[in-house]
Amino acid sequence: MTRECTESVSRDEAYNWVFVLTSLISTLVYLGILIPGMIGTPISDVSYVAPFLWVLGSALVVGFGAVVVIRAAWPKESRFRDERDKEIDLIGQYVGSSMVTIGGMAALTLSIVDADRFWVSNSLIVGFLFAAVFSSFSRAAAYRGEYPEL
Amino acid sequence: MSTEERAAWASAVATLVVPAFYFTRVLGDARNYPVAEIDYQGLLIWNVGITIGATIALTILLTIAHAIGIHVSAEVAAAKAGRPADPDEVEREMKSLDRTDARDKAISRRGEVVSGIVLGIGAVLPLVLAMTEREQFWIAQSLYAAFILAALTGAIAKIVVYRTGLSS
Repeated sequence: MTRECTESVSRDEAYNWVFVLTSLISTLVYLGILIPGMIGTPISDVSYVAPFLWVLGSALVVGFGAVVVIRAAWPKESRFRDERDKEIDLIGQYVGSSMVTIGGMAALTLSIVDADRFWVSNSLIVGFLFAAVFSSFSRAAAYRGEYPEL
Repeated sequence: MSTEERAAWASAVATLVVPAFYFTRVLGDARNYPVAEIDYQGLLIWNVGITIGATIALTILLTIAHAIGIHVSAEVAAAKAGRPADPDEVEREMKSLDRTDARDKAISRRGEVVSGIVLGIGAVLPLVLAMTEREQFWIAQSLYAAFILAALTGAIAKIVVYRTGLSS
């Protein structure tokens, strides 16, 4: 592989930048709707399902759209995943897994103590959103610098 | 066989067996009583504890069995060759019993990634149940089942990688 090629942005890295932006914006928008909605309203009346589904749906549409554009626009040479792409992908998945685990444990605990389903749902949702944000950010950081071997 | 590999086997067996008792009991109760009246909470917490305890106990048992195996096979090999067992050889084998190297770490993380993916998929059902305001009982059972499935597939993934080798 040439020097020029390794210094440019690989297709996987470009995909990851899409993931960084969509996950970050989705999280901010969802929390931006949820938290003001919680003020002055009984928790069981706060509507979060529709905002979550809208945010998720829009993120998927925007994400897939961007992936299609990148697929068409990127040079052929960068289409193959190399070892580095695979290792970095694994780092992202590892970080994401731990977020999902934390969210799941919180949700299970809340469910056992019979907390409002609002809290159960939202620990899972926030766990998923944080998994997306942290995994994509750690991949982006790994692409731009040193990364630990997994 | 490293400690990590024995732990993977122990975890696979423990997560297959111990939660089965819990789910048989609790799902059996769910057939006969309204789910809101079932006291599953204590059973669930105990089951988590017993699963972890059984994993540790099995790992220790496998280590002991392995250590005995090393001595026995050294004696058998020595008897066949008609000479006394070589204590250095046995000592070297015993030392390798609890080594953890880079490969073990890589396999362990690979297993955790698999288990995270399974948990992510498995957590969708409890999320849907919670968003549609279903009984807390079913939310808790499906979440616990997702965790157990994740732990089980993670352990199996580690065993498979130990058997077939790491490929990135």
